[in-house]
Amino acid sequence: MKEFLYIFRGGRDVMDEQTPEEMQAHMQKWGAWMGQMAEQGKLVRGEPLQTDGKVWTGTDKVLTDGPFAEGKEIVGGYLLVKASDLDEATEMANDCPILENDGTVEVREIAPMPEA
Amino acid sequence: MADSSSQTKTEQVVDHFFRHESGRVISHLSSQFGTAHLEEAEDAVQEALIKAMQTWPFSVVPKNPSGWILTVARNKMIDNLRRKQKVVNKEDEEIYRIAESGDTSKMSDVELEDFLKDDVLKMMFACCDPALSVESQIILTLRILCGLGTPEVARALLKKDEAVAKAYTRAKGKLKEIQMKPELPSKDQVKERLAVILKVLYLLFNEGYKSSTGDDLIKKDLCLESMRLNKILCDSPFGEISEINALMALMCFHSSRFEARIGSEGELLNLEDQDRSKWNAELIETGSYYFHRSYRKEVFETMTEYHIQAAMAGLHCRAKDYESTDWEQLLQLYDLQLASRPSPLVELNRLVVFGKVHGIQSAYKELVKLEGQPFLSNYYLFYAVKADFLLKLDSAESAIENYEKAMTLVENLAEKMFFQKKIDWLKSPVQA
Repeated sequence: MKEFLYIFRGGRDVMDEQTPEEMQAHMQKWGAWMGQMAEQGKLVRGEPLQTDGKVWTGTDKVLTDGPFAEGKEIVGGYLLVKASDLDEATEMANDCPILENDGTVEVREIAPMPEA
Repeated sequence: MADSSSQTKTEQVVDHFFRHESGRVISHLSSQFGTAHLEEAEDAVQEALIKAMQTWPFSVVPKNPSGWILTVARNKMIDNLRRKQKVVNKEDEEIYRIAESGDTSKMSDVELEDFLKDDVLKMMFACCDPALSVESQIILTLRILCGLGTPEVARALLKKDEAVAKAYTRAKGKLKEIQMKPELPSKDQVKERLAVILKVLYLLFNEGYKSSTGDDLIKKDLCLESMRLNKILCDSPFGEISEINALMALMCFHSSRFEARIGSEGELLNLEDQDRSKWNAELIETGSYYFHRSYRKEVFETMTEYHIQAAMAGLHCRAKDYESTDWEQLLQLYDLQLASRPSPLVELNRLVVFGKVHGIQSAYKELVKLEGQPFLSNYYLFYAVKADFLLKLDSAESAIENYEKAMTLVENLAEKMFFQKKIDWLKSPVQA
């Protein structure tokens, strides 16, 4: 088993317009999606991120406040999951509810340390 | 990441939880900060729900989710208000301080229920302020107290999204003008103010009940929501008032037939054709409880429309089958209804019962007298009743004509199907 990182971006704009009922339904989909991975022992950990923060940039060390980018590019959270290969990890992310809200989920393999 | 099975997962959050919390928390914030800040209250609740939606699935649902949402929303609201007002005056600062002082995040559901219950009541009175139009009262009630969004209200009331959004903005503007701070009415105002709330709840219930054909859950939601709000009234300090209980009884009796009203092909079944074993016994019992509460000597004043309709619905609920309905008592109730609120529709319904008591022949004679009345001549039920009578008087051909006339006038698809079935049956070779 290899480890993969899911990085969630966007999906927030749609939420501003959602009704409480729609939001609850959406939340339940997230719960079901993650719950299924947890049951299969594929979920390692994950957290949502606060939207605001700080960014240091470049050699001049310019400090800026978040949000740092357009809503669509803000990372909203991450998950660390287990899968046998990139194909499986990608397939698992296909059901990610963020896609319904026009967001993205990026699938990246955690690069193993080369053996010494 | 916690995943102990004893903890609540997001899938286990009770149905409509967000929607109902939205109503409670907006009511609370509006009661504390005044309706001038209604929009800020709505935004704060929206942000709190988004936050819940973004964080809960990653872990487990907080032990006291209601307190969590209330606390997050309140803190957002105060942050936003502070940010907006560059200079905060002392008075506002005091309101913020008080609002922040109670630790709502640790309250149990029961404590929270107690903490918020007056606010919901106050908001009910505010949304049903007599100075607002009925349309505004209904839209405010659905949006604020029931937590429905614009598209849901539009679907429920069969209106366009834009029309509902506009009407809501207008209604909010008016509400801000007339109700600075939602409050409970004084004792001598209560009856008059309650009458408006009950009327709104009655309209909502009817809107949901009249065409609930199962294809749109939102219609059933309207019934359930109006019952939920009415229950809040029943449990309030005004809960003894007779009319509140009569309306609650009426709603319980009617909704006991919710499932039985729909036939196997989605068509609406009338009382005669419903499988009475499908009637919800628990709701009938609850209805009877509220019905008795409404008639208690100490509280009963006059027989209102709600009392009459509850009594009628109760009679049907108690009858083992259609034929054993207590028609004589039902006819008396119709006489009472006709006397207090004359309408061609009541007259028509009364004639059906009249026929049961005095025979179809005399009922048909009475019905013919109503022919040509401006309202009834374009009303499909008139022709449906006429056809039913004719059928019983063995005039199948004239009956078919009248069913066909009813079909051209009816809009509801389920009811159209119902008449089509009757016609097909009458025209079938077995009949001929």
